[in-house]
Amino acid sequence: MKTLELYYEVPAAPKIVGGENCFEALAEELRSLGSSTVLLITDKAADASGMADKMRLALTAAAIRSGANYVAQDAVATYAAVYELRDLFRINNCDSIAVCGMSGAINTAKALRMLLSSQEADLDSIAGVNVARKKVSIPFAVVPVGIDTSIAVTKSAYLRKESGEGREFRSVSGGADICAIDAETGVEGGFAATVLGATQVLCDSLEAFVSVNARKLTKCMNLFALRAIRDSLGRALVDPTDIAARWQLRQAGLLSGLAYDVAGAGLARAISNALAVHCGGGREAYAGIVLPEVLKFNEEKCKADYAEALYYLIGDDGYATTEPEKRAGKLVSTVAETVLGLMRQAGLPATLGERGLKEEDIPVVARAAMGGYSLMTDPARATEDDIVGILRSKL
Amino acid sequence: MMNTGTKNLQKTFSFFCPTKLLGGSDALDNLPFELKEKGASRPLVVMDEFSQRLGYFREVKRAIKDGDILIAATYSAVTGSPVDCDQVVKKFKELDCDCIIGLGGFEVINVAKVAKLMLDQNLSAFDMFRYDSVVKRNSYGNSDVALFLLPCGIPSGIEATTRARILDEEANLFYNFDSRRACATAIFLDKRLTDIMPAKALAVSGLNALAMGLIGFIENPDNMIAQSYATAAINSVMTTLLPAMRHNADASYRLAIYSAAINAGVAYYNAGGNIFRDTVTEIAMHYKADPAQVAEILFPHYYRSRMNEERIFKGVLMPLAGEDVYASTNFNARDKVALDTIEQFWDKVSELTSIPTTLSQIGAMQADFPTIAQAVIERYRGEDADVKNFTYITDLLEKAF
Repeated sequence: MKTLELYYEVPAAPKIVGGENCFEALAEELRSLGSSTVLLITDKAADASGMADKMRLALTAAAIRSGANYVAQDAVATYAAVYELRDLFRINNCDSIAVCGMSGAINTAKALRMLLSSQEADLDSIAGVNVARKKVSIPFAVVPVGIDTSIAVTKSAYLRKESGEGREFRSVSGGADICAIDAETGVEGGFAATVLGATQVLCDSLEAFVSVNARKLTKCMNLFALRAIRDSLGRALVDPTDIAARWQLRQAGLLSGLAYDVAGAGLARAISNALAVHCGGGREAYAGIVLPEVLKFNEEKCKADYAEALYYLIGDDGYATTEPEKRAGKLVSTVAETVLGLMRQAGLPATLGERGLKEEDIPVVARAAMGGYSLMTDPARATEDDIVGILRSKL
Repeated sequence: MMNTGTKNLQKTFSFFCPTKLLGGSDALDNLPFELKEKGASRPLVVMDEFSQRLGYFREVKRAIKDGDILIAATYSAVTGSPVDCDQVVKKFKELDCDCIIGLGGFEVINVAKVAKLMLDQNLSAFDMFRYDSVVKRNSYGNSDVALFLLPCGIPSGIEATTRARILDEEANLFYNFDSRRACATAIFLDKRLTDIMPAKALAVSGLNALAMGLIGFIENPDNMIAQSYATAAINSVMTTLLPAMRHNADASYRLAIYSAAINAGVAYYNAGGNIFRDTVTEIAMHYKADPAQVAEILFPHYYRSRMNEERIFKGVLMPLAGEDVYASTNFNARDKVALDTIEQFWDKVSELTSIPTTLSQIGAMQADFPTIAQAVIERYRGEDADVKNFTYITDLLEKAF
């Protein structure tokens, strides 16, 4: 019973709405929080999908004036973009923020909200975990456009500085007040993007499940996410218009995000983040490549958890016919085969070398990964040498 | 890319749990930090006799003092009436408080929530308590008074939700509220605020948490987030209620049941129109009974009445019994095995504690059933025509009688 005594925190979650009229519900909620002039941040994906227009219409119908509309150009959130937006916010007397876009736009909006509500002068003074203090309230709405919706519900943002260095920001003030999920008009981006998005959610769910901070609630969230991926990924890949499948995958993303805010992540995330900064692109490009190695690395420590999670990944027959002592190994091999198979089918790079990593970069990346917060909650406590080994094995 | 495919349009979906939950050892020690995070330093503590008598207020004073915060005011002996709400608001304003701490049971929690709602919207008691069963949704307001809840006794499930309920005994009216403004900023579950409970009370509360969790699971078939909360609750109760009853001195087990009740409440109240909840509410109001007791009596009958209807009922076996049992049970037998599991658990708990198992034991009378059924139908906001049905409801009540 000692485990039940361990201290835990479950942060407040944003209000999440989906389905018909979700944009109207989002705008109404924003209005009820005091929004009258909004800074709207979108990106090319949001505009192309039509979601940005839906958002604009709903905000107008709720009598929320558009103070400014900024279209994010970069896939990665940057310090420069946040400062530019801060000026726009002030010049146009905005009182709230709404973002509709992919991860770059959402990370930018979250960092902006943290900066404005903390009333600090620069981003470096609020970088880190729980550094930014919420001094003023700024209503904040998020609509994720891509398949990985986890970013809409977490309270963290990842930015790149001018120097190329990546910084993580995690604070209550980075969390949205309201989040809308629209599976009908959301962008799938094709087979490859769906594989990358789903693989990232799979990775995050498995890592949070075995995290040292995992609690019963977060474990349930992760297991539901795994089951949703099992039930829907195949259908979404075969038929991109299968809205029920897309909706399930989006819920899986939300679940993994909510669990992440409590349980944190692990080794795969630490490595993926470091690779993304070093080699470019988002961390989803690396999650699927490193995940199988990380699962193998953690297997001994996480046997019981992996055995439990196996059911949710392979269902009744596979689980029942696998001997209990072999279930953990079965999970590791199933994930490896499935992820690798999908990446090959999608024509995606399956090694880190193909993604641009060189042998001589490995020590630098490993050192950067050691500095990430995600490692603190990983159960196997990898060393820098362990990470070097993992990177080398996937080169 | 505008997809016009209409295959299986997503249904309307909503999930809301805006309350931070802090639990486990020494959770209370974080109270000063959470107050300061919200810029608060002058709390008004709302409490009842129970929490004072058991020394919980002393624990709160100590925790706050350690954080260099002084209690600005207290309001005690809460009975859960509109008068309490009014008095709390008056005291809050007179003594220039900036946040509310609710320390106590069901009545304290609801008074604290409604007082916050009144303060946020600058409403008087006259404005709030004018109509029978008024529900205020999505209320606008310029302020957001921080509210911290420290439940004593097993939570009812309403704590981490947008709901609140006040009983006006004099007027014989219940007022129900559903508003973002009635949400707590944070809830603290600390074992120093738990105490050895009579086994009967523990049993009723634990089974109520289980019933809420099961309903939350069943009534949210498209909402995996709510189902996650429900699953966590169901699982906790199934594994810790009996040990909690056997080892009542062990606060860790009690804390697990508390946490289960909070999670169950989140799932339960995130479900849309819910005939079980409405029936429990009407019976509880009609006989001034404990809703938890009504829920634990009614649930097995409700489940049995609906177990053949939907596929989702077969999924309930998973949180009840775990992966091994679920995987090895034939698909078509799962709802029956789930029902057996539920009934066996209920019987075991009832045997150990002699809790009421029929509505007649809590004073219900069959002559009242038509009136109650009619009230349930008027209250029900869901779309299920099978259950929004006079005969269905009266049959359910008869079976539970």
